Amino acid sequence: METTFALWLHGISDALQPTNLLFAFLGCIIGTLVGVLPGLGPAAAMAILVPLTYDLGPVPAIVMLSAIYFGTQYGGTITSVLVNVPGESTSVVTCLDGHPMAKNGRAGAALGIAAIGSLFAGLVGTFLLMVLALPLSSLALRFGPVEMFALLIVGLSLVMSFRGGSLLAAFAMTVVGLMLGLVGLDPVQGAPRFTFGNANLFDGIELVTVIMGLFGIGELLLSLEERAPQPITRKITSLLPHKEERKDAGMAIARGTGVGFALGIIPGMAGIVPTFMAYALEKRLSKHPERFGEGAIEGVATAEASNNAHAQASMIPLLTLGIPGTATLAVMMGAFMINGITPGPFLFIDHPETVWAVIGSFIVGNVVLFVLNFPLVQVWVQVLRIPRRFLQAAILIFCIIGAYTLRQNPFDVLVMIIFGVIGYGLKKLDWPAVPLVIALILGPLLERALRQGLELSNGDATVFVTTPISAVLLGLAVLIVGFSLIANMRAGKAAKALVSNPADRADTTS
Amino acid sequence: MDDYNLSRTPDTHRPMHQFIFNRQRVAALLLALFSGLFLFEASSYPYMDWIGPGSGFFPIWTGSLALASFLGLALLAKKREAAAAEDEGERLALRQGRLQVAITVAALIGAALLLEPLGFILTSGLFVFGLLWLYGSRPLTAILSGIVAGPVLYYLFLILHVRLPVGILGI
Repeated sequence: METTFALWLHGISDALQPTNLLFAFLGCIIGTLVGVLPGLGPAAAMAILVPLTYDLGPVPAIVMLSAIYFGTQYGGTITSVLVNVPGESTSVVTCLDGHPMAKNGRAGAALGIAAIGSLFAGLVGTFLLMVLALPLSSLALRFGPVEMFALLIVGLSLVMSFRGGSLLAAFAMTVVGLMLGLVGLDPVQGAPRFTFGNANLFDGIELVTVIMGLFGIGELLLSLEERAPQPITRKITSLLPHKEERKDAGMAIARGTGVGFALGIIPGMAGIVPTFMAYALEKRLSKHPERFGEGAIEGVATAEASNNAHAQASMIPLLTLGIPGTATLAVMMGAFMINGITPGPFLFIDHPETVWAVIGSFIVGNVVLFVLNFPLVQVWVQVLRIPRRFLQAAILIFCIIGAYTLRQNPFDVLVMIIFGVIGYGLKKLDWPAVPLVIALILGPLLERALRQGLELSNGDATVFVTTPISAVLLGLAVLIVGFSLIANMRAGKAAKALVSNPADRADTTS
Repeated sequence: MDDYNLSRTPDTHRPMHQFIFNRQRVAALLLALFSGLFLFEASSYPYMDWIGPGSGFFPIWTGSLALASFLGLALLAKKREAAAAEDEGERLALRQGRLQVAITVAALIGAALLLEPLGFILTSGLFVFGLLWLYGSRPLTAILSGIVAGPVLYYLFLILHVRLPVGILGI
C-alpha cells in the first residue's frame, strides 16, 4: 500500500517537472483552441495534433496529449454553450441547458459551472483511477489468450451496443474495422496479407490517418452542406455562478461524477450513455424538473461532471487492459504506441515511471485547464468570431500535415482522404464510425488471442466456453448484445407507432 | 462577405433521414461485393498450418461475417418515407454544398499529389488560396492568406522538429 502511495507521489512530482508542466499548459491551450472549432470533436482534434508531440519523448508527449484531450473537451463545452453545436455526442446533453443559459445571458455561469464540475470530476476520477489501476492490471495479468479473446469480445460488444441506431449496422462496421486491421503483416507469422505488393501497406493502415479522415475530414465535408451556426459572442463578464446556482449545482456535480465514473469504467461504454443517465437522474431528483431544457444549471453541471468522470474512468480499461472505448482514446492509444509504449496489463510492469507520471499529469492537466480557462474564456469566444472558411482551410491543412508527418509519406494523406470520404458517406447513411475505429485497433489483438488460444488447445474451439472466466465473459457479451437487440426492436416499434399515429408525434415533440 | 462564391442559400439544415432514402441498400450491396472480394483474397492464405490456425483463418471468418452482415443490411434496408417536399432553394443549396464537397476532396487529392514535387510551402499556399477563394473569400484575402500560411506553418513545425517536404524549387 505504501509502495503504491509512493508511486502516486512519484507520478505527481514527475508531472510537476517544469518541462512537463509547460507541455501541460501548451496542451491545454492548443486543445481548447482546437476544441472550440465547431464541428471538430476531440478525436479528430487530437489526431491532428499528434504530430506536435513526435519529438518530445514518451512522458512529455503523453502529458501534452492528455492536456490536449482535456482541453478539447472543455473547448467542446464552450462550443456547445455558445454555438449549440456539440463537438462530440457527449456534449449534446450540455447543449440542452447550456445554450438556453447563454441565450438568457448566463453563458459565463454555464461555462464556469462546467469548468468547476469538470475539475471536480477530473480530480475524483483520477484518484479512483489511481486506486483501481494496479489491482485491475494485476487481475488482467492472469488472463491468457483465451480470456483475453473473451474480454475483447465483451469490449467490442459494448462498443457496438451502446451507440444507439441499428445494431446490425454497428456490427457491420465492427467487422469492417476488423477487416481493415488485417491489412499488413500477420501478427502471428509475420507474412504480408492484403497488401497487394504495396510496401506502404506492410505496416497496416495507420490509425491516426483513419481517425483524421473519419472524424476530421468527414465532419468537415458534412459541414460544407450545412449553414454556419451563429455563435453567441456577447462579452462574458463573470464565470462565477450565483450562490443559489452553486447550491443547485453542487449535488448535481457529485451525482454526475458518480454515474460517469461507474459507467465509464466499463470497456467500450460510450460517454453519451452515462451523460444522459446522469441528466435523467438529475431531472428526476429535481424539485423543478420543468426547468430542464430551459437553462437549468444542474443540467450543465451534471452533464459536464459525468462527461469528465467518464473520460477519466475510461482510461482504466485503456491503461490496464489495452481496450480503448472511444475514438479519442483510440488516438491516445496510438500516441502511446508511437512512443513505444503498449497500453495493457504489462504497462504498469514495463513502464511504471511513465504510466504514473501520465496519471499524475491528469491531475495537473485538470488543474491547469481550470486555472487557464477563467482568464482565457474571452479569447475562446473571439475564436468563434473567425469566419468559418478560415477555420475549415486551417483544419484541412493541419490534417494534411498530420497525415504526412506520420511517415513522411503522401500515401498516408491519400489514405486519410479516402477515409474522409468514407466518414462523410457513413454520416449520410447513419452508420456509426466509432465501432470501425475500435475494431481496427482491437482486431490484431483479437486475432492473436484467438489463434494462440486455439493453438494451445490443439484446435479445440470449446476451450472458449469451458474456461470459466472466458465462459462468463462470453455469456456477458451475449447478454449485452441481446439486451441491445431488444432495445433496438422496442425503439423500432415505438418509431413505427409514431409514424402511424401523427397525433402521438405531435404530443412528443411539443 | 460571408457569402460563398458558390452562392449558397442559408437554410440548408435538413433531417438526416432525407439523405438515407434507399441509399443504405446500394451501399450495403457495394460493401457486400467488397466483402466477397475480401473473402476471395482471404481464401488464398492458408486456413490451417502445422501449429494451428493459419494466416487465412481469421480473414475468412471476418470476411464471411462482413458478407452476411452487409447482405442482411441490404435486405433490411427500408425505403424511408421522404420528409416534406424540398423547395427549389433547398435543392439548389444541397447541390451547391455537394459541389463544395467534391471540390474540397479534389483539392485535398491535388495537395497530396503535389506535396513532395512542389514542396509544402508552395502546395499549402496554393491549397489555402484555392479553398478560401472557392469558399467565398475576396481574391486578395485568399492570396494573402495563401502567401502567409505556407511559410508560417513550415517554420512553426520546423521549430517543433517536424520536417515538411521541400520541393524541386528548393522551398
